[in-house]
Amino acid sequence: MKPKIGDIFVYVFILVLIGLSFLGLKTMGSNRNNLLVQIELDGEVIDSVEMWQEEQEGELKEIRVDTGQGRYNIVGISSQGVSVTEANCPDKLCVRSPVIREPGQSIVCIPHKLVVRIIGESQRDNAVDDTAS
Amino acid sequence: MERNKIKRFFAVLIVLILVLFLVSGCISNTQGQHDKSFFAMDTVMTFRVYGDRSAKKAMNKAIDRIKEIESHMSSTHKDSDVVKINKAAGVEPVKVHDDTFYVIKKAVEYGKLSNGALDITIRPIVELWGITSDKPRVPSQEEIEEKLALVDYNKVVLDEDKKTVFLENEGMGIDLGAIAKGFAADEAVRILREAGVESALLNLGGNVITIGSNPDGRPWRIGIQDPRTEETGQPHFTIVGVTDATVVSSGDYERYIEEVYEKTGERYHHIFDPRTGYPAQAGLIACTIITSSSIDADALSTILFVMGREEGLKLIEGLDNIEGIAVTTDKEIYTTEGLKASLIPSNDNYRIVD
Repeated sequence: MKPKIGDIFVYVFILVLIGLSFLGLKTMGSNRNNLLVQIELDGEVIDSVEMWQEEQEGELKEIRVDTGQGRYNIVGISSQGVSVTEANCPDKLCVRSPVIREPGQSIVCIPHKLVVRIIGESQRDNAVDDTAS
Repeated sequence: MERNKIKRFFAVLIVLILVLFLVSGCISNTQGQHDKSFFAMDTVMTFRVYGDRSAKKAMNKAIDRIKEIESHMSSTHKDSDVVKINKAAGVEPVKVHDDTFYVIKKAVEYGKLSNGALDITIRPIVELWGITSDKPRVPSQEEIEEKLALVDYNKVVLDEDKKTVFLENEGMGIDLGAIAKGFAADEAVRILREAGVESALLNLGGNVITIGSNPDGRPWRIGIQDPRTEETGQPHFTIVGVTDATVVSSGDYERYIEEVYEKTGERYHHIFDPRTGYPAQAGLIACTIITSSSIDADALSTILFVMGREEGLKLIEGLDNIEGIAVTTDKEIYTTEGLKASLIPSNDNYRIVD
């Protein structure tokens, strides 16, 4: 029996649908695993870096952020999490802030109007929408 | 015949799928997520508002309102009401904006309710220690006593008709730091609700405010900062599920004199006991208030921290629809009755006490 045009259309459509659903799954999956470190200056996102994965254990990636007029903060990303490793702000609160590693956590440097934020879906069961501090 | 039926079945199926795509597309268009983070009132604020374009407009309006409140109540903005009031202390009453008058009146009420545990005239003490300045220091007892004589919320004279505020003695000064952020949050929530926003998550420098529930329909999950995170390695000591509520914490972990802490282990933190002139030492390292009004939460979290768990929780228990959590230096958690059954520590460094 010879398949008709309509049949072929239906088969192709179903195949495309199956393909699309796989693609959807894949992007959702990768969002889960890949957390982003977002760096904001005065409310504007100026940089966005993927959190390092396990294979890079022990290494430290440092990003220097110039916040204008000679002011700077250095953001350190390692398998342990994200911290501000150095800054020339007056209070150094950002440098003293604990390491962050979960989505929704952030480090703030108020004098330099800098926010370092972790973005993405948490893999932990006890993930939170926000933190009261 | 049979073949035609199958074809028709597939045709209907395809149309259905297409309609589904269209509908889901529409939903995601109208129910967008709008995020904004900005600096105001000496802290960072983050807004996440769900809804259509009018929700985004309302979000920007709410942010403008917060900046307006800041310009009235800041201790540093040159032309703010607070700066004017402090300059005219002991000289003359100052006409202020309605919102400044409301916040000061509210603060004085809380001063009375807490018998002075919250006192907006604490400013001379705050300046003396300079905990949040570049050069914090531990002053001498004489210096503290001298400034403490200027601290008394009963000497804030309010004229309801003329909307004026007068500080009776020269050298007095007010600081709305413990309460203005709460008022700003209430105003932001009012503006968002008036625009029909049904789901939003706001964070005003650590004060969390929620509207409705999470877009998934579940309560918002709010972690409460572990006050000894550098010791425990944990971000939160508990997680609470809330809808239409505000969660505000105070503690000795936010700002303190680092140099002294490193040498002696003593935390000279930023929440002062207006009765001693020293950082509050009532046996707590952190406390949290959960309720619907942010200005109440802001004031009461300071009051609970200064009063301590027994006196503080008793006071809160006597108020309607307000819950409190107190964390002691021994990492024991005490709560008001309403939270007793539901609160679970999220790490085993902390223990709930009945």
